[in-house]
Amino acid sequence: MRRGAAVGLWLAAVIACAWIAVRATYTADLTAFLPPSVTPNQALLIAQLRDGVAARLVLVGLEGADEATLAATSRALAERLRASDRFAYVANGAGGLSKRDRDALLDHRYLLSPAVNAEQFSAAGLRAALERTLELLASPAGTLVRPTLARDPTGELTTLLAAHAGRTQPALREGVWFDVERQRALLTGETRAPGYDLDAQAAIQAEIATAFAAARTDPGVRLVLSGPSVFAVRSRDAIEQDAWRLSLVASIGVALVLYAAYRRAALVAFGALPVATGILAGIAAVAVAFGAVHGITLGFGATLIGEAADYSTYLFAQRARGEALAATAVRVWPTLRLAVLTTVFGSLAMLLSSFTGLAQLGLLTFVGALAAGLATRYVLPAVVPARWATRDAPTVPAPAALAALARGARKLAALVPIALLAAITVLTFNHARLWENDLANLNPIAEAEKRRDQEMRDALGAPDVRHLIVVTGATREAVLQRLERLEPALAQLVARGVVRGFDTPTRYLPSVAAQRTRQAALPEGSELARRLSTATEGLPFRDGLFAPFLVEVERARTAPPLVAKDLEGTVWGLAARALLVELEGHWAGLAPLTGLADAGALAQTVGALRDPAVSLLDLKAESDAMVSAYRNQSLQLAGLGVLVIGAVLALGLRSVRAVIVVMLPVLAAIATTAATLAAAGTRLSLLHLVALLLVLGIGTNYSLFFSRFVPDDDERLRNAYAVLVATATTLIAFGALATSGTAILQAIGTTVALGAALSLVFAAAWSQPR
Amino acid sequence: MIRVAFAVALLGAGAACAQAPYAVEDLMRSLAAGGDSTVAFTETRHSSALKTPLVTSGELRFTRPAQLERRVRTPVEERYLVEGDRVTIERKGAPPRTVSITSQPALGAFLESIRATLRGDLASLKRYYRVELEGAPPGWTLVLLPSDPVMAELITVIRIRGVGGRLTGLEVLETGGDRVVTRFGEGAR
Repeated sequence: MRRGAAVGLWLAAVIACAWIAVRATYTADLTAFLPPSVTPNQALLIAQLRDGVAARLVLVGLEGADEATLAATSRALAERLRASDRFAYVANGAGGLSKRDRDALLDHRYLLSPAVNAEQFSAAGLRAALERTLELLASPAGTLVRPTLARDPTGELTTLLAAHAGRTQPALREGVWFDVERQRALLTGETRAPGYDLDAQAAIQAEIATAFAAARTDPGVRLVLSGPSVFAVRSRDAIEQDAWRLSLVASIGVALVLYAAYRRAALVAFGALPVATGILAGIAAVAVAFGAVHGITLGFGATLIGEAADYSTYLFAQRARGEALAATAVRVWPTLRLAVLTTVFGSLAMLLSSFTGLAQLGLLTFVGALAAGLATRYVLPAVVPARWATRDAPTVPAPAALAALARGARKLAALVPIALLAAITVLTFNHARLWENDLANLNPIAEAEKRRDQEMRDALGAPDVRHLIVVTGATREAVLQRLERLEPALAQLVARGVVRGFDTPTRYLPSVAAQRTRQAALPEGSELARRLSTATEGLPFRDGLFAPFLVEVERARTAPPLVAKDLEGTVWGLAARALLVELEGHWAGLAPLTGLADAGALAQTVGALRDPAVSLLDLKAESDAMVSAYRNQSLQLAGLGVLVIGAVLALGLRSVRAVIVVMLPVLAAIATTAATLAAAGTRLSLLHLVALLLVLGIGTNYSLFFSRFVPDDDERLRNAYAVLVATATTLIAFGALATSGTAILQAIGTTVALGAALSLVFAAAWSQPR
Repeated sequence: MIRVAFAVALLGAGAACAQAPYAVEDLMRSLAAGGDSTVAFTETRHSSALKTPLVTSGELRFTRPAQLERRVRTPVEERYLVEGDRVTIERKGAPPRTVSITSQPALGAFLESIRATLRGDLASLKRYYRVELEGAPPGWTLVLLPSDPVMAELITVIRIRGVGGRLTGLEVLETGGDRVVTRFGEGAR
């Protein structure tokens, strides 16, 4: 009856969890995994990562043919991409501004143009501008000037456009942007979807490829895509592909080992029941507690719960001949319970983390390990048909050899403290370069691709996505005014060659104050008419020609100041929106810097301003700091976890000495693994840390089982055999991952495989002969 | 009899058509065979915006294979140099400016229409215009209708007139109604 109750409860729980898991929101938003922002700069970094222009910029290169062919392809591709609603804009250097942008600029020219001042609108200023316009009218540019002559006789639009053309522009060949040195036509596109939305980004990249295939006339032309979102999609694909392939290889390997051990395919399948239950319960718990499950939690969580895959092994492989599985469960339970509880309470520390990512991971492990443990104890014996359990109980192969091995291992007991000390020495010596803070180095992106990205960025004069000057303020207006005051200093930096160029949102949206100053410089209607008639004296313009000009100046003079909404849908509006960020009630204006040559001089200039509202943001330094903060907290929590595990063991084993016997081998294994990686030149990252936490979990179990009280030699052998089988499955699963070409998978695989092997040897060395 | 006469007349008319004396390709060939040239020009803009037409004069120098220089003497000194895809503009009191013909077709393609005609480069003309030819070698008119949408917004038609392998005049009709008429002098060398 009690059996039925356990199975019923389990089934109900599994169904409930599956229901929650299926309905849960899964997110790939990397920024959700980032720490709660500590500093305003970090908040900005997250905003940039989440929705920044840099993250949404796709760089497109075309190569492999002559200039004319590449240019034609560039034009055709841009046309197709512009027709898609996935891009806010697509630029390839051709055609300049769209009609819509031009009209918006023309409409707002007197408020937008920094050249508007009282002098320009004096009779003399007007006269000079009109004479210049007349000269233009007599030149081949006359055709361009003529259509707006009556509205804009002073050429304000031309001035406005020229100010923008003055910024660093890519080289042009055949009318489109070119990296001349590398014979590569260049395009850029800003996606509407945020950079972190990898599904949308992948669809966009596929769309670019389709458009390219349709646009190219010469089969020799090649498409090159670059940019943060391109890299992100590519690395995700690489990881997914590798993960699937290697999981398959590992599953087959593990299944073969388990089959060899149990001699029953059905038992191999049942063996997966606890860990599957655990993962399902863990996901459901995270979904309920956090509202959404992050993809990374899922990946790391599945790794951490990997320990639970051993639970069924400890049950099945420990079975004596003729023993009912339920009886085995009762016999093994005291040790297995401790194995489960150490993991459960060890993950409690992570659960308390202020980092959402770590807390999710902690909860997933906590619930997952608990559920897997309970399933092993109460569900497996109930669902595995008794006849499989009683007949053909597994026999330990080569018992004599195994016994000899165990005796041999015990002679290495001294190795454990020696290894621990040596490892600590190595880690101490390497502590300065022990950790990897650069997220980029975890990217499975080839060096050549990173270099090409930099080439394209340089050729396009695109901001390097790294250095920004940040100006904060209570309102958008305050930020814009500060930026306007800062502009002379920035221009100075360019003049001194400290940076090649900069951009600021005030170019696209001047402050209200600046607009009011410009409005004040515009003469009132009748006054302007009087000055204009003086200015046109002796010039061949027809009388009354400039009536539209008078109307438009009067309109600009009395218009309400331009706001962001007025520029919506134009390149100007987009740029203003991208460079002005609202952060929890206050505003930040970004001035991206291009071609930083002298970081020291830049920092000095910004420091000399002594303005707390102006700061220099090095996105890379910020992200490094964030990564190291993340890691430090993980380390502290892991340390706390070790203490909790010690306490749980002390309660369970009721002996300090026993706690040391269990914990020292696994701690030595972890330290030796870390030291080996460090000695091999690998910098440790959060991934290694998670992998080492898994080693802590499984290694503790090895020790627990080795040190468990066993009444006879037969059982001692079965006990050792169970640990050996568990280790073999771990080595196969993570050894497969270690062969991955993807840095993330390779790091986890190598670390766990090495750690598990060392844990086995050290635990065996300290196992107690009784 | 009448039938025969009619047939002969028809045939004759057919022959006259088939003879189609002057094709664009022929003109281009004869232009391509020419040498370097320098001619004086006078350009007049007739515009509803102006009380009196705007007159500019200077000289136009074409150097093979593909360099065109438009030097303005009056009313203000100005120099446009077309080389490859680039147009360099030099005017008094301003630093020289370079634009690309293909990225600024409205400005560049006009100059390209002269340069490509002088070098007999039909392919370049066809990049921006639908090209038609009227007349015969003693007096021909090359009619250029903009096909580029940016240009078509500004220019209705460009007519280039010539005699044999020499240009005599050029007329640009803008969409706004302005007419820019250029006469090339006899000073060809």
